[in-house]
Amino acid sequence: MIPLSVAVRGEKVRIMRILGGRGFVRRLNEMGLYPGVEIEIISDGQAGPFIIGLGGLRFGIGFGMAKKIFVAPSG
Amino acid sequence: METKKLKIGLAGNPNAGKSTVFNQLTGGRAHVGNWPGVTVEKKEGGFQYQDYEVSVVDLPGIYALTAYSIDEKIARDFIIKENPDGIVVVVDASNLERNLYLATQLLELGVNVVIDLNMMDRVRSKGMAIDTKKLFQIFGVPIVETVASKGEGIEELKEAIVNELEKKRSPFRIDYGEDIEMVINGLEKRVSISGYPSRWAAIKLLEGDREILEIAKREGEAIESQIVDSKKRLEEHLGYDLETALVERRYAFLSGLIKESVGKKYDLIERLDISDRIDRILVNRYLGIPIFLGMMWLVFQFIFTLGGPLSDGIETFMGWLGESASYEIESLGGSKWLSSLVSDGIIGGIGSVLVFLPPIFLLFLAIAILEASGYMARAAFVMDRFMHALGLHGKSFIPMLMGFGCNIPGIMAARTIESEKDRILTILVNPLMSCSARLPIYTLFAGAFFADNQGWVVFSLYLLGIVLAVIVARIFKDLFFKSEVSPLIMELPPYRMPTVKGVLIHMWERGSLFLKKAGTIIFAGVVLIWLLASLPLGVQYASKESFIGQIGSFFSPLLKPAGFGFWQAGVALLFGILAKEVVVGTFGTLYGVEKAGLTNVIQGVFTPLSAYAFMVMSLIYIPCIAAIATIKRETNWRWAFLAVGYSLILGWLMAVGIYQVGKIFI
Repeated sequence: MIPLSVAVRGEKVRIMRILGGRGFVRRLNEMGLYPGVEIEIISDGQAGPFIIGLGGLRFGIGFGMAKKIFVAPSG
Repeated sequence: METKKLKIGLAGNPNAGKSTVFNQLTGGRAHVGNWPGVTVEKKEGGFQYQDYEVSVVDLPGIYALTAYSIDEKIARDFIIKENPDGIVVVVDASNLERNLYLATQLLELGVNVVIDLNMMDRVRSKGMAIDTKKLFQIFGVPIVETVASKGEGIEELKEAIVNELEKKRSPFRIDYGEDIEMVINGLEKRVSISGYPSRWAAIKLLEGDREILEIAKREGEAIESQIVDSKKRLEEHLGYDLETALVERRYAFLSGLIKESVGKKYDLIERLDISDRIDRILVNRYLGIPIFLGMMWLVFQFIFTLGGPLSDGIETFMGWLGESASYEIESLGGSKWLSSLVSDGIIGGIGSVLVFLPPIFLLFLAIAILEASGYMARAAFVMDRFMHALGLHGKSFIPMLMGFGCNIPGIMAARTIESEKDRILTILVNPLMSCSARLPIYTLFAGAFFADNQGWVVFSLYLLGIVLAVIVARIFKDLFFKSEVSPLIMELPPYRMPTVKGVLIHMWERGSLFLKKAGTIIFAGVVLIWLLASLPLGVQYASKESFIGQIGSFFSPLLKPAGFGFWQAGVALLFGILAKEVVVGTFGTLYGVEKAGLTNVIQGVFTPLSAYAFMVMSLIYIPCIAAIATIKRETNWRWAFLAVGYSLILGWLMAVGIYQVGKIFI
């Protein structure tokens, strides 16, 4: 399990845990980001802002937040 | 025929095309205001269909009804407290699964819903179809397909709103699985909260919804320990927390539903491919910031090179109008006082509102284009790390930059920041960005005293403003907004071509709001200053004997420690509240010289040190009337007063500090 902030572009990962306050976790869950969901790293923090793909959606994520989402390689 | 009235709300995820649907339904005519108590924009419009008059309220873009974010709370309060006849959920049909989540939330609450599958063109262009009959069977509510950007399906949507909304339907329920259902059923039987469906209340209680929990307590339900117990048991059984489990089950339900109602495998790789590739360049690590700054430079040029001449034109015209009016009045035998009231007070007041129109409208045009194209959402992320280091939000950058042109559009540009705290903070420090109206003051004084280093002196003032903004933002954050910077996570819409109509409507809505609200305050302020300068009757305009001269004399001892303790400086600063560029002209009037002779006069009464202190004072002290009015318009009087208060104190302290410390060395 690694924090999202160290994942690399093109990788497909599965969300394992989200750290943070209840409201924050809940909000992410309802946006469709909850444990078990597969996401794709479209742009990693190294190459600019963090962008993740969830099916047909794209989310930008602040750098601080990428450290709070833990993922594991999927498949 | 008697007209019947209906009130509906328009809900949907961000980027689902909600505002386009709103514009289509209402014909683009909307009343824009704020939701009570907060600075979130509220839009209301309406349309007539058959013998119905339907009023439409645009709700903020949301994902759910949890009420953790201010936007969700607004939407939820509207639905629960204002009791609308129904809600239209605008859904991005190319992202059904994520977009239907909100619809399930509304249906669980028992709201009358129409589901609008918007952006159907994207689905069709992939050769796919959505089985709306199937969706209708499962949800039991009308399903309408639209392509709002082209106006397709809008008539059908109106028809559904008017004729289908209020038909009685069987309650919608999601099966949460045996284990969870057992707990829900148990709770449901024991809880009854007036006004809410009991199943919904039970689910919300399990989710730990604070509002519902409080209502339950108020109504004397002794359920808290019971909830905690059953929740604990369930979580042990599930292996993780119940809130996540509930969200997950809802998504599982939706995912099954999509499989049944959409023919082919459902993704839109191609469209995103282009968008992702653009992102690889526009938000690239090395290119991201230069491209962003380049864009900002373009926007800046667009607003001030195009807007500047227009504003000048308006100013010249209003000046001419004022002069001819006073000439006419005096030749008709009117008193000098009356002609001054008309030309300096009324026409001058209207003029000072109108000069802001070109930059404001151009700013909102630029912002609307950036937003509609999808770039605006990215820009926040490009600047995020840098702005965080300064204690501000990624989206604060654009308002700050605009402030260098004029603080009014700068403050207005802060509208794009969703978090209220970050927005207020950005607005409060915006006047410290040295606007172009302060440049004439710098040019006059720096030219008179620092002719060899003029550029550096002016640059130092701009820099001082930025440094102070960062410090003040830090302090205010600790004082008023103790919580952390709001976490930045945002859905990024795919890049798309903005439509002319959508962009113009957006520009008009925001621009006219400035005219209506800030305009009246600016006008009143200008007239007030005019009165102070012309009364008591018979005095020469803005002379030492006028009220404003008396006020200037009264305050001049206070300005003495800063090195400019003479009444003319006090009056010039008072007039500067009208508009900063007026300071220079006021010195001219008070000393009875033209612009050319002003340098000599200034050199006589100021020293280089007190001149620098005066420039610092002009930079910081009290925002101009227009800025104060705009701050009030965008927040409330409390923050507007704070902006006036802190800048006055800070300006005075800085000017005095510089003069006193400087005196030791010189």
